[in-house]
Amino acid sequence: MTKENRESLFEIYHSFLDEAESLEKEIHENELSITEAEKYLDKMYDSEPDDFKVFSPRNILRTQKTEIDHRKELIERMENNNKYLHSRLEKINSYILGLESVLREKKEETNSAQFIYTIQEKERVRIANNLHDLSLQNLTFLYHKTEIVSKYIDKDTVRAKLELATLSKQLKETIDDIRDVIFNLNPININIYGIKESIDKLVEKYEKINPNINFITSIEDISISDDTIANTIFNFIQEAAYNAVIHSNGSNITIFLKKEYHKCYVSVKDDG
Amino acid sequence: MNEMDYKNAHFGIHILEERIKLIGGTFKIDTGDKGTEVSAIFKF
Repeated sequence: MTKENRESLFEIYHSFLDEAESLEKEIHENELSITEAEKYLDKMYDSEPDDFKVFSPRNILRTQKTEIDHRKELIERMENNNKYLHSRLEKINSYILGLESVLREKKEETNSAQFIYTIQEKERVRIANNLHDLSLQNLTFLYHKTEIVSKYIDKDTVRAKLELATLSKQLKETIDDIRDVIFNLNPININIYGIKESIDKLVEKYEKINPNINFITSIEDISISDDTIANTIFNFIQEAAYNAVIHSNGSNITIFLKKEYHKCYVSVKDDG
Repeated sequence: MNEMDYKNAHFGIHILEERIKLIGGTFKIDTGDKGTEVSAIFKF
């Protein structure tokens, strides 16, 4: 929905609110007029002198016929008018409720989009810090190590070999760190291995983190063409299972994934 | 631990909840004495 459309919806919403207010006011005024006319009629009937009933063939219905008919007509007209106004008000209120619902959804959507944007920004900063604090420092350290090795290589080959062994080990650790960062950003395994195998690999990784936990998996080997959905399913299992592994204090974690028609059911359960 | 405590303790799941809702899915957390179940339904 464009900004212009949203503004138009707001205008319509406010015009409906104004109309509802005006209808309520009109209904109230009509009700007052009806009450007043009814009171007037009651007063007329009550004020009929008893003498009329005894000594005269005429009564108030004859003497004040025009006035009574006029009042009765007024009451009938007002009641009919109010019936119409009530039905119109009911319709307007249903439009107001509908518009409120649409405008609320749009507001929530905007809030969600802003929330996601904020999270993305935080995540970007976190990754930059992570790469800077860990990987970049390790690589700088390794660069200096290579300079040391180049100095020792002719003079002290044994020392040079030892330094190279350390360098190789630290280089491997740095590669693993960077691989983890990349994996968390984009679990490309899904495209290569499919969702089932990717989750199996994830479970293997988590089993190493906490060998005391028993994983029970029921993962259907499904194909998901939409990358966004596939990545979200994987991230969902990754996050929920990690929380269970680290924080649940449970002994069993069950991961369930099943596709039925156009729906995919996913759950991660712990007994902690 | 109730649902809100779980979300506050695991902020990542809160982000995922928003992501799932944005792509038209539903998200649910069941917390209780017998453990926690986090589930989602995705629509294709």
